[in-house]
Amino acid sequence: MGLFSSAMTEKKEREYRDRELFRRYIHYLTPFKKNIILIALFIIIQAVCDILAPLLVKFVSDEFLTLNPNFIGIISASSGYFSLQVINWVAFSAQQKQLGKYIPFFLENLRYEVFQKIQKQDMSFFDKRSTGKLNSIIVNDTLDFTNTAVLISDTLGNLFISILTFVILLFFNFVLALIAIAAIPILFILMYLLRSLSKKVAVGYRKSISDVNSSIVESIEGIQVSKSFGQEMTISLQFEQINREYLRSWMHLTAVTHFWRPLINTLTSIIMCIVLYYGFNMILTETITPGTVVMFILYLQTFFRPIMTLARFFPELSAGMASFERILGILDTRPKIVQNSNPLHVDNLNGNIQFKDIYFTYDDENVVFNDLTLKIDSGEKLAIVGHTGAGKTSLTALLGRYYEFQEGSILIDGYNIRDIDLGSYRKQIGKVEQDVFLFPGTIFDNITYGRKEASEEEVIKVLQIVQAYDFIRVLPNGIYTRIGERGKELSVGQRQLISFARAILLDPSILILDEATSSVDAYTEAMIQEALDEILKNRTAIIIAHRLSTIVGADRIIVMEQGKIVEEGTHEELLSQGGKYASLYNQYFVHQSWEWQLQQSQK
Amino acid sequence: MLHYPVQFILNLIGIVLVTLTRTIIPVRIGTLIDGILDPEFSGNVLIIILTLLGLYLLRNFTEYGIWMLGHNLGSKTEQRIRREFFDSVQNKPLRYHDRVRTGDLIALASNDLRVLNTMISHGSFYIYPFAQSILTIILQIESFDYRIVIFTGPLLILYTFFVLQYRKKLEPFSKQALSKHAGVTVVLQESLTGVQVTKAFSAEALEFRKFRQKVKAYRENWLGENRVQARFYPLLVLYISIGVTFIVSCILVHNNLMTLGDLTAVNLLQLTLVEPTGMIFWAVRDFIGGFGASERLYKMISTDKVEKRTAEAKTQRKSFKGKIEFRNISFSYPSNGNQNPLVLKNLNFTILPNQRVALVGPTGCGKTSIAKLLLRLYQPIEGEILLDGKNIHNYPLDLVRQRIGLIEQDIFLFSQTIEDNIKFGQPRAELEEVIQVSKLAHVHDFVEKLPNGYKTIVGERGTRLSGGEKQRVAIARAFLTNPDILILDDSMSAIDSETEEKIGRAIENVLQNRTTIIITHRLHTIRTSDYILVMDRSGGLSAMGTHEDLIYSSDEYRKIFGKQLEKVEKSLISGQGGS
Ligand SMILES: Nc1ncnc2c1ncn2[C@@H]1O[C@H](COP(=O)(O)OP(=O)(O)O)[C@@H](O)[C@H]1O
Ligand SMILES: Nc1ncnc2c1ncn2[C@@H]1O[C@H](COP(=O)(O)OP(=O)(O)O)[C@@H](O)[C@H]1O
Ligand SMILES: [Mg+2]
Ligand SMILES: [Mg+2]
Repeated sequence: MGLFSSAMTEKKEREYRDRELFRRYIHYLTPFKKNIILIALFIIIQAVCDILAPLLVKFVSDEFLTLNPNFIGIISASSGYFSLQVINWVAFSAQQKQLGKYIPFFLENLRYEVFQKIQKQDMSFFDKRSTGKLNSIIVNDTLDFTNTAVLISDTLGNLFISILTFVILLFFNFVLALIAIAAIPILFILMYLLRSLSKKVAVGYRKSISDVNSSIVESIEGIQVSKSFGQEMTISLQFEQINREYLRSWMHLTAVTHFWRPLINTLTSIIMCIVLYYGFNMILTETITPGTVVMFILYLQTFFRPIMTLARFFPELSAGMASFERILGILDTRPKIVQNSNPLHVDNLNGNIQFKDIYFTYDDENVVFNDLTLKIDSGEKLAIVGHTGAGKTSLTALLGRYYEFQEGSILIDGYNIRDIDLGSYRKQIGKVEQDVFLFPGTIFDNITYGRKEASEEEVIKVLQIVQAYDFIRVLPNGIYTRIGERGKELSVGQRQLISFARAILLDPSILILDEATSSVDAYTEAMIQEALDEILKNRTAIIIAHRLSTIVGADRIIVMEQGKIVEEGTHEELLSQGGKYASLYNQYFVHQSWEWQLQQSQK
Repeated sequence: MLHYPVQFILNLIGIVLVTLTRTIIPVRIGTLIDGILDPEFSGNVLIIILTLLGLYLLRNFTEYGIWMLGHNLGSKTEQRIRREFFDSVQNKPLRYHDRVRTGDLIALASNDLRVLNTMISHGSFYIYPFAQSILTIILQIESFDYRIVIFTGPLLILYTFFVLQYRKKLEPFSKQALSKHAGVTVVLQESLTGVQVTKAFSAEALEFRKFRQKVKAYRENWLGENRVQARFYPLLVLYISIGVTFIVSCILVHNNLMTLGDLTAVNLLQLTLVEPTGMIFWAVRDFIGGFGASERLYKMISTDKVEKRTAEAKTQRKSFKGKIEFRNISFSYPSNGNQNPLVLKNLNFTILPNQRVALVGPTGCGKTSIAKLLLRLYQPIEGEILLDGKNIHNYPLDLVRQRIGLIEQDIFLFSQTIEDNIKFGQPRAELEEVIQVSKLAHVHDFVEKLPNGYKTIVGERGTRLSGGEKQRVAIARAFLTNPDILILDDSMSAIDSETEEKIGRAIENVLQNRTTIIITHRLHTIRTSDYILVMDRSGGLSAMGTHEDLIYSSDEYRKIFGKQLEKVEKSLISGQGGS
């Protein structure tokens, strides 16, 4: 399959039955019921104007045909005609205004709701979804679903109009009216049947548009890789498949959701002809007058117009439901990490951390921690070393509560982490992630991300601590230099420094440095380390690194292997133990020390 | 649209057909009604009705046909432009991508193109109400009473004025709708990609504010559009005109200045304008949007030239020996104009075939930039790069990029399976080959333990792997293409030293006979390379040589070993003197 075809397949959270969808659809509409009813009312007023106007014209012509036309009557009728026209427009305008008071707000609220729901999800939610697809749901699906919100007023208004005209038809001729209405059940059965088909094609369409979005995201973010490997053509060809699929699904959707047009038109045409035929025969047998048939035909047309709109209801609603289902898929996904209803606000943590018998797996398949126990005292500087994939980053992820662990408990200052208010808690953890992410915008905005109120001086101070001010100062716009997405336009090491500064500015009780200086040269790192000693006083620090210089000064070093702590102690203790750490040191770390270099050189 | 002449012509025929049937049907019904009213009527009712039905069916299905044809045309155009758009974005130089907002491109590829499609798809549908009115007007022109013009004339002028006014007022809003939509996708995309940081800093409220601001802007624009639409005066003028004309005609008829038939005709004539006016209501918006969208798309496609591929010297060469020479290279990033300071200054160095070269220097000195220049991802502003003695620009771009393997510092994996990611540079490779390189890059170790093995999906950007695992996959990906020159840009920073050394040995033993440039901060790796290039903070080359030479001769080089060095510098020098 293609590189970005359906890698992150959209797995439906659950199936929704039509009835439930409809119930929740109505639920979303209820806050706007006033607008909906008003809009329906304005639709009815316009229709009534349309119905009455020909009657007045008829009245005028009839009056002129009489021997002694009543001029006053004619003038008042034509003034009435004039007023109807004006009323018609006023109702039209009022309908538009109501739509404006309703639809844009409906969409806005829906977008907020979905966005906020997504924000509440834990990281395992994002691991399984592509951002392009989520984007598509928040932007496109909400928009398409909103279109169905208009449907309900249309339906209400037109339902009323068709009933009204039907009554008028009944008044003209009972039998012909029954013939006319015979079409309705057929129509609705057809539409109802078309419903599931239109939902199916709509689902396909929604999926393909979000595929387009996610492919754009992937291809843009991965552009340097594509170029480095000279694979732009392959990517383009694969995108073309998605593009074609999009076209196909869009054509299917169009074909199905517009199939009602010829269908209904044909049905009404047939009814029309039958009425004409019967009417004609009735005239011949003199059961009705020709005038009645003429009026009847005129009204038949006004009868069928709203019916057409009504018939659209099912296919268009079902198409909208495809979007709705995707939206609900997000809204109904319960975050695995939920706040206690009465969470504990912690504002001044000591930074005492305890992992107790933690069992943790990301996806129920690969166990990362099995019975992990670890205690970190407040103010301690703990270094973690170990192979890649040992679980170092995962440990910090659990500490930040980005993922839910399955068994055991984590205590922070003796409080169960699950009882703590996440917002206040996370603000006390400064974290330099392994995978640095910077937002597009100025360097200043990035550093103050966690503390918007920070001043320029504070920012410059933290930049000096991480040795980044030297290079930022010489930039044309200094700390207000804009950087691209993910920090493009900075070197990777520079990005790390900025993210370091961002964490320090928080003034956190617990500082996590997950390979925070891996792309920074040793000299700069050493300088940072000096400044950091001051910073780290009275803070708990977890330092993950592969470089000796980074870990050697720690209060305690733990060696992790496949999710287990295999050794722990200070640098000296571990060396004297002669275990993993010692062999690691003797084989690799030792090269990094100056003394060793000196020895080598003097040999 | 002209790319699809057949559809276009069919569409035109359909429009004519529908217009005709739409005009004829009322006429036929009229004759039928006349027949009913006329007691002497002698035609065959059944036949008349059946022809009527035939006409109806003809109309219905042609209408549907046109509808589908229009949509087909619109969608094909959409698809074609999307492909063009995508290709052009793919082939734009990196300096374009440094600045681009992913959300903007998403909006262009979905929303703008959809709007453009709507314009084309609905375009023909908008035509026939107008065509029909014109036809009706022509048919009824004979019964037209010119005195009515005195009244309708000014109103018609007013009508035209308001139509133009409507367009003018709607234009800014309907155009803005596109960029406001893009505004939403842009913040959203940024917010979604940065979600982990947002959580880490408890900045959800901030992100929501940013999002809300854009959604609000979008809504405000919509309201503006709605305000204009709610004051759709052309329809009011038309309605008033219909009303006024009716009153006046009644007076005229009453005074025997006009016949009753004329009254009906004039009335009907004006009524035929109602539907086209309704169409104007939608069409104006669709067209403004459609043209706005094409403008935006065109602008995006035409900014920054596509990287040159064709007009390059052809060469028989399939591989390089791997001699690299930088001659007087200076470079600065083009992204924000020419204020950018020089990143690289007057670089001169030569790397011999099969050499293992370490490129070292402080953060931000330009090491990655050198790698990017070698791959021609950017152009130097001065000097030339020679590859096997020939200017690198004289080789086809694809050859250069395929034969030089770069493992970038900032690893990107596609949200695909591990296997697909490794095969990225060689899509046709067999699984055995994948496993072979995976063993070299120590990917196989951890893949074996995964329940789905090589079919494991790595998540967006590879989030479901640990940092070092990602780097190893990237290394395997580069190994598979078997490049002549391999550049490792700090690509083992997240890998523990033990594994690093194993991979290093694999590079030495298995992937021998190629030039390797290693950018790294790991001392062990630096020490053991054949040749070391030392850069200084200002982007110049401060020293080159082997470890043994440099450790004594270069201050900059000693800095690589960290801070301790400064303290012992003196003793070292004296130590050296003593030895
Ligand atoms: N988001 C994730 N989803 C699933 N598996 C993951 C995820 N992140 C890491 N893993 C797996 O968990 C293990 C531990 O990873 P990690 O903690 O990142 O290692 P490291 O010690 O290198 O920081 C690895 O095998 C990795 O593949
Ligand atoms: N795409 C870019 N646009 C503008 N400036 C850049 C870009 N990439 C890097 N720079 C700047 O160029 C300098 C060198 O960067 P780089 O070569 O990545 O350094 P490093 O030696 O750490 O790899 C840095 O000061 C960085 O800010
Ligand atoms: Mg890690
Ligand atoms: Mg770099």
